[in-house]
Amino acid sequence: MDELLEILLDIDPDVDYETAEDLIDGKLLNSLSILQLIAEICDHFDIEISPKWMRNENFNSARKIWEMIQAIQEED
Amino acid sequence: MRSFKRILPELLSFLLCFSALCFGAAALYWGTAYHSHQDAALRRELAGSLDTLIVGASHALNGVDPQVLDEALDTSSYNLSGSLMPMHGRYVLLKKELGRNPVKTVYLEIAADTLLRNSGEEYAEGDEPIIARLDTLGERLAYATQYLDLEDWRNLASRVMLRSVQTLFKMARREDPVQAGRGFQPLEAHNVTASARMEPERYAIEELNPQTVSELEQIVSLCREKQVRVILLVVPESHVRLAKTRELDRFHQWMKQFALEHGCEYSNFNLLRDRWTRFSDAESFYDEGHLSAQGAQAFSEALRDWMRGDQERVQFYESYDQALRDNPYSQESWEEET
Amino acid sequence: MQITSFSFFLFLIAVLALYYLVPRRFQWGVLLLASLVFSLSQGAKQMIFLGFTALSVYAGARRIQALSDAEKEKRAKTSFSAEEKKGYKQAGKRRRKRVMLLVLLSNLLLLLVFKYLGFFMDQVNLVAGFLTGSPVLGRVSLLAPLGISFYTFQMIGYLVSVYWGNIRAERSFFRLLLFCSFFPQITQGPISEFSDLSGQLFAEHSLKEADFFPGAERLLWGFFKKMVVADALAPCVQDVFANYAQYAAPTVLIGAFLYSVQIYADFSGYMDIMCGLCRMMGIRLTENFTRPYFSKSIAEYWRRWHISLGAWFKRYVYYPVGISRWNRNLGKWAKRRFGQRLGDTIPATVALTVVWLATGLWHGASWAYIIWGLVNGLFIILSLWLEPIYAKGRSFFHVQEHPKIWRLFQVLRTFFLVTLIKVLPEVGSLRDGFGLVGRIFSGPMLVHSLQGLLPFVEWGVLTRILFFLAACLGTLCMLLHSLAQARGWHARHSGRRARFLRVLRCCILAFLILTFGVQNSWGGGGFLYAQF
Repeated sequence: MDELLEILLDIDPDVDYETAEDLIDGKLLNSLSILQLIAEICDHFDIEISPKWMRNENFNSARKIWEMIQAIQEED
Repeated sequence: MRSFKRILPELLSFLLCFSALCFGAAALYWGTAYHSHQDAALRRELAGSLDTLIVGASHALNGVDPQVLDEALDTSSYNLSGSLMPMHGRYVLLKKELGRNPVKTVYLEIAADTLLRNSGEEYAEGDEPIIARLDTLGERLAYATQYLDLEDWRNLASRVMLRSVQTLFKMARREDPVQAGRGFQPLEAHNVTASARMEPERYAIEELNPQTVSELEQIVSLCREKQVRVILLVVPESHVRLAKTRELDRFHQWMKQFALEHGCEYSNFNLLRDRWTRFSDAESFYDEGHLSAQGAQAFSEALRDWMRGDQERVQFYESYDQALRDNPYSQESWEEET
Repeated sequence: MQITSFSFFLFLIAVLALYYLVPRRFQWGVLLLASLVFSLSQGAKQMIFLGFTALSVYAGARRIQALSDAEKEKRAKTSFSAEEKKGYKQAGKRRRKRVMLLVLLSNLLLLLVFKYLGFFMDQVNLVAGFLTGSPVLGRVSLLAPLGISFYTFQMIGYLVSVYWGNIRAERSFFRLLLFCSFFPQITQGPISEFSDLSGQLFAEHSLKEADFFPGAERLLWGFFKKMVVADALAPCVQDVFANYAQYAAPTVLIGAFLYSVQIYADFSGYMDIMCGLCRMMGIRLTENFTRPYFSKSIAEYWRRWHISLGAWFKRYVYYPVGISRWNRNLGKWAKRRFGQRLGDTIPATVALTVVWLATGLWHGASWAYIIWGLVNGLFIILSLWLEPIYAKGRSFFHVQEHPKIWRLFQVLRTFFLVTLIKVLPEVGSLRDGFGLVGRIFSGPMLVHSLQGLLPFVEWGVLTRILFFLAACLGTLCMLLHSLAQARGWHARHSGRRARFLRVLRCCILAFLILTFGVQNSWGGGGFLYAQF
């Protein structure tokens, strides 16, 4: 989770990822930063994120993103 | 059903308010006479005095001046015509006036396109003014019920609402209510001299509307019943229009045959021999198909002369083809085709 | 059956009455019957192609689901080693992918044939003409089934969602057929997700005042926008498009603005009609517009205009392309070569280019639409690339983002740009599109009379003036309505005063529709987006 938070802070250091629950709905992450995020997550955690995970609810908070990463790791 | 009861009060309120708004608007339009076709009051005034009626669409509305006929023939005429007037509309108005006037002669104007038109495709354009010219709500409803399909009820309602808005504007501008003459509506002149290119159109007689023919027969039958002389009349169009339209002799033959079969007279003033000097495309027409005030004067005089039996002044070609050879535009149009 | 025709009005009344008369468990059946009747009214061909899409996607999705369930069951029952498990999973994925691709490609092929065969043959003939001096293929013109772009995309979305495992395949063919053919959205969308719409379509709905009357008011508002505003402006816009070379610059600019109003009133009017109708039945359709002309950038505009199409492209094109391995590798290579900034932006640039090329093609089979799509994409990509420079500029000139005057400037600038881009493919050819835009900047600026400024209105005829004024008044009402919405003002729905005001509003709308809208619709009455 800490590694994920580091990645998010690299993308935009002005957002409080520990408490924010509307990263997508509140436009804190846009479609460009999502792609950056995905690229970093795939490299860092050595996973492939398929398009089926690309839903707003999976990216609205750091916790949700972390749950998604864990689910993908379990699948693999 | 309990669930429908929940929405009933507001639904009924809407329907009531909307109906009140529409009826109010219709009453404003029908109850005043700010539009040129609203002549019901004038016709009521003249009831009992008319012995000649002119019935047709816009060709007759703008082309026949009753005053010219009355002065020469000592008659009391009224031009009942209306723009885009469908055949059933002519029947209804004619029946009404025949019922309250000692009419001896009816000029029934028929243009080439009259027989091809389908009033069901005209969004009640010809029917709406007729309804406005009737006297009572009962007559209006009866006309609409008998002659309009469901979609045209909507179209009619739309036209009536627009007329009411126009009436409001005319009232706001303090325009005077219409002072109708004897139904005749002269138009200003425009130069309709042919442009460089004339595209021939074919008169498609095979598309004759059987409903229109049936209604025409109904009119003739009504007049015969009332022992009224019926004259089928074709009002002159511009030289340009004549030069462009092919196969008009099919219409001419059809009219001659119809007149023969139904015991009416027929006179086609498009075939006047002296039309090239009597009318000019530069001054005698409002557009290719309608006479201007000047043209209407000339035509009404020709009609008057014909009614007086003046065969020297009024001579006719036998056919459109014959007329085409003298038409100043014909050479150009033949060159187009070759 | 035209949406603005009297027969559609009668059809709506019949559907609503039947919907609430039948036992609630049959309500979705009424919707299916109505949808099939509506499709049949467009012609038998409509039914054949719609049926093919529904059947092929149904069969494909059921097959994919069956394969997936069988694999899960086997994995649960059998003990695999890690390597075996991985191999089995990949084999299963390949099997499901084959089915998905077969169905997807066959439906896309149908869409391509109807929409793009003529265009493709024209390009072949163009090249052949250049090489050999004469065309090699005969001209083919196929009339596409109504709404094929919309329902094909909707069904592809459903199929891919089943393939990804986001939803389970629908077991009932008739329920899926309803989703495919649902008449409020078949001709112009919105393109819905099965997971969003199915729950509402198949649920039981009781008649509620709180839905019925706001829905009815919205329906009337939609007809008002379409019939009183859009249809009245259509001939004015066509006049400017046909004669822009003879008109002064202000006239051409006004014509372009009127086109922006016309297309918004037309398309959003349709949405209001259908969303209003669905709300009367207790169903909430996806919104397709949120005040797009209040956008501060082209990117924002496309998040507010035709939202469901944008969401579809984002979900099924942008993200799959953007997060694909080859695109990520491209980004890594760009980062090594050109630095962090380019490395981050290039994958998005590639994905956006694909999206906007596809969007242009979706709107029309012509170079004009392809260029239109790419121009939109270019503006969005440029704003991505130049954002750091803009930020530095704003900081340097102490321009704050929030003051009203700056926001107003952004809104007006975006509206102006969007209008110029919008007219490009609509004037006729691309040359005419650029010609019209060029005339705005190079035509004579002085106009000496109202007739000269607005030559498309017959100022001598009271009726024509009234229709134009009604359209202008309607436009003003639309603007005020949007402003009220932007400020969060909503009409209250309950209470006697609220009901009275709603009845009054509905009466006025119905009167204006009857007086002006009905006559405007005599010219044709079709919707602009139905051509897509």
